[in-house]
Amino acid sequence: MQNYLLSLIIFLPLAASLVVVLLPEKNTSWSRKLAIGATAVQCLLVIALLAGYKVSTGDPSSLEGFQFVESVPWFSIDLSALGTLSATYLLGVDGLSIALVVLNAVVMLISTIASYSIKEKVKGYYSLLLLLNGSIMGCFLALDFLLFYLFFEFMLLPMFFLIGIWGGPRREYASIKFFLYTLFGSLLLLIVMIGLYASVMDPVQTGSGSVVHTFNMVYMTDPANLIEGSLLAGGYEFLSIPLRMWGFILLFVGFAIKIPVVPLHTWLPDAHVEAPTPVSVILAGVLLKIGAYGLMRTAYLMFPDGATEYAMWVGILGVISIIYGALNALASKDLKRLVAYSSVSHMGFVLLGLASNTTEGISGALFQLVSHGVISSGLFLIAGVVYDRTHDRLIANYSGLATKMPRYTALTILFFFASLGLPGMSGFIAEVLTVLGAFVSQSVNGLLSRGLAIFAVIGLILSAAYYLWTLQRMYFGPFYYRFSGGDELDDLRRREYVVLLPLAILTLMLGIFPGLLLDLMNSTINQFVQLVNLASNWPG
Amino acid sequence: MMQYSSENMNTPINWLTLESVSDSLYWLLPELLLTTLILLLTILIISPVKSDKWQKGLVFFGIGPYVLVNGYFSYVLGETQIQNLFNADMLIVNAQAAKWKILLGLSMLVVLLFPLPLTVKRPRGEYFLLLTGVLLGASLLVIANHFMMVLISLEMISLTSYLLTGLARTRYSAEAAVKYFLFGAAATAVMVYGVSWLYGITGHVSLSGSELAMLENNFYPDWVPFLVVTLISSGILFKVAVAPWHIWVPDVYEQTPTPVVAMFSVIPKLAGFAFLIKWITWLQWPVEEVAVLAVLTMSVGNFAALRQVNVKRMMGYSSIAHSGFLMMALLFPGDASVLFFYAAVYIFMNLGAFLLINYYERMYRIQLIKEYDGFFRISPLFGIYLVVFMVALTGLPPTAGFTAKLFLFSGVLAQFQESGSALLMFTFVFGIINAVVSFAYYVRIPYGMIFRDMHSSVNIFKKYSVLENFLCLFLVLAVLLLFFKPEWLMGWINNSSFAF
Repeated sequence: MQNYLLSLIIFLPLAASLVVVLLPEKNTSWSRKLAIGATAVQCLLVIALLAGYKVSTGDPSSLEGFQFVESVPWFSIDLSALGTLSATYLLGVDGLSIALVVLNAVVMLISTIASYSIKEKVKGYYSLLLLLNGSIMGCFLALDFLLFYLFFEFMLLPMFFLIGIWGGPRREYASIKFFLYTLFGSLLLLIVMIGLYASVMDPVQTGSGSVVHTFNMVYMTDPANLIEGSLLAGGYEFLSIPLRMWGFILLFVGFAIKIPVVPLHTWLPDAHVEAPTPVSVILAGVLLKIGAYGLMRTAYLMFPDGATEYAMWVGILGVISIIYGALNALASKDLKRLVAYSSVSHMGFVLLGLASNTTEGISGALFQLVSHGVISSGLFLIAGVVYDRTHDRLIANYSGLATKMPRYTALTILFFFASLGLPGMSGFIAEVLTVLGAFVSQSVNGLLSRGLAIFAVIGLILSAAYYLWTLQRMYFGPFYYRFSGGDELDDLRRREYVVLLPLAILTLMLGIFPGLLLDLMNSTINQFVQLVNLASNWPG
Repeated sequence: MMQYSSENMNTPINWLTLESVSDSLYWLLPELLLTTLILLLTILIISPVKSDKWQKGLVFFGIGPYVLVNGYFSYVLGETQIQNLFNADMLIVNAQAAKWKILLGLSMLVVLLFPLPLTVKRPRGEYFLLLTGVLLGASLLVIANHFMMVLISLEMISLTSYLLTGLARTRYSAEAAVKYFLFGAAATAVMVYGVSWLYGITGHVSLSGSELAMLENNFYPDWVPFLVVTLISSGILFKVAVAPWHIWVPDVYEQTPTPVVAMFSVIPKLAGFAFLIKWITWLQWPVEEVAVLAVLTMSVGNFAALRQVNVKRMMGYSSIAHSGFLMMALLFPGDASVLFFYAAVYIFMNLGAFLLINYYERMYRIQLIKEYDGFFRISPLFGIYLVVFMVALTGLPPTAGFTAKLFLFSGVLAQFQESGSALLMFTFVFGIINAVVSFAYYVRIPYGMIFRDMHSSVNIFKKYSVLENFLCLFLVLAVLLLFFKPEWLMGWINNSSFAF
């Protein structure tokens, strides 16, 4: 029996977006109400999904491992020279995606509520926000590479417009830069996608004579489905690197831009600084997670041989991101830029955990995705609070905010400490697990050297340094504001509590009961680790 | 010249029987329709009727049946049937050719719906006459199987095109027309010279038979076949604007009335490619040369387009870039369905883009990219249409532009799998890089429209044109639907064999 829950989760915001566009021009408040309503209903649907999700199953290399699967043939075309090309509208959820789906629903609801400061072109704003929501959900739920790619590309346009129209003074530069970087990344994915489609067959439809090529991401994770003598079945080289290795490298670079990993990260601080607060929340909260999720779903599961071959390099890039991001955060003068660089630093842990390919490391990486999603959303909202009042984010212009805004300062301290990894908060669990994974990797599978774990810990110390220093400069001491608007700095308003408190509670909850999340993902993670460790099953 | 056929041992000589002549005339019906149309239009021009409504109506009633008859032919001819007209090896009709002609006819109908800009004054009879002439030339080129026929049809397209370029009768359009004429005449001359080499060596100028083997026997030095192929090809490559034969494009595109430019960007180009794929199959042109030309063409087009300020000039370079992509489809000439699919989608998105450019030019007298700034607020619907067309031209989902590029790149990769030539891999990678680069200029128009403020010099008023609105909506829907349901087009293409 088909279950339409996942389609509903994706298409509810898309439909709502259309309705918002068609609303009459004068009733702008309705578009906000409708957007919040649709996102709230989506949240309820996700809760229903969570309730129906069974923890026990979860092999990401066969369709049985997925739940709530929907499969409708999309198109099947006979290209005489290239065989039959078939694509399916295939959705499903497993341990890798379930947590991120929940995270997306929560972050989307919060950022929609937090959009009260948007006063211009409200209709367009909310319809784009809903469009973004639907396409991100699509990314997490799609199991067909073409469908995934469709959502992945489609996500760029609303984000581009959200930064470019409602952004800060340098929005043109930031939005174009964001777009060109991500477009370049997605075209690298396109290259590999075509290669994979040319090399993988549909085991169900093939057999009756002709070979049927498929975009099915689940079939792509099984070496038995590789077509003999095809591009990615080993034996082909380009510039004396085997094509299978190219496949991993291109997917890695494509998604690394999204994560972002250090030499490719420069779009992120610009985009964050220029984007309006709710858009920054989405950007840090979920958009970056798609990069890491895509890496797991495609690069690691489809090219485990590449993943083990280049594990050390991936780990090194992760550690560079951790330390370089932290150093940049330390040097940032702008509060939002600081948080943006801390994102780069914390996403480095995800990469490190992935590279280790141990149960600890992968669990840590996934946990970090969720935890960073919650914490960084909170941090951007925190930065938004002062910006809303004074339109000024320079750290040096403030001092002693604690005397005027004690409750705000309390929440700030909570999020800062969560982000620097204080025990009892979600960030701690995630970072301990990833570092542990990197540490044991040398003895378990020999992929990473222990030194990486030690360098990663230096990153943790740096993050403590920049957060504490910021606290000291901005929040403690006598009150001072450089310009005349200091009176505007009142304490948190009710709607700011509404968006900040749920995130704070989530952070604490995940920190105290990490089992809530880990149990959800555990069986899939174990399978994932095994699959990647079986790299020798793959030809080439 | 006609004598050679009697020497050809393979084809029986029976072209005097009445039956074969009447049969052949039947299959030539679409072209005869166009010829009749041209005669009627001529009569109308010299008649005292001065309104161009009659001529416009007449053209629709001529080209509509042209499409229908070709549709019927593509249905009757089935998968592999071939009609050798007059048994002369000059014109060959099959379902594939009929389908190409449907594409040509449909795009001509769309072009005819373009409102003419104000620069074209006076009774416009000759406009319709010349457009029909281009279509007749293109139609003959698609079924041509003999270089006499190719020359005639190419000249038919060229001469009418030169006249259309000068239609606005301004100084600059005259300059563009003369330039186009000089370049074009030179290209034709080179081609004729090449054909004379071919005839001198093989005694044949037909595409059927085994001339290639004669060309490549050991009697001649190695460079001779290469020279002959290059000389002959340059005439066609000039028409389809493949680098380095593209230099006429920017000036002509900038100065010609927009509806004519829209026509230039599709009809001669598609007819040229429909012929090229036959010609390349016959030649078994080395894959390397096609690959180099494809990469060169798309790179020249895309990188030059980056720095343009005039919209039509930019679209000129964009059309060069798309010629490069179409050249990529010639890397696997065994399967023309991908070429056809790309061409069909290209028609939808390119005509759509030109329709909007024509609209803004006519309504607000704007031609520069920066003059589009802020127009989104005046007409958001047209802004959204333009975004869709530009996204499609770049080749991003969810538009059919993406599907077309996906098929194209898959084909190149399949070819690489077969031959293992690293050059194909480079072509593939360059194709992808070019897609990214092209976005940087396609996005400039909608970007300025949406993000920037309007220039005060532009005369602002709201005006909707129902016709353009519906036409755009139709093209947008086609571009979007073919992404979600590519089999609707591909299934129709594939029901007749696209291999020669």
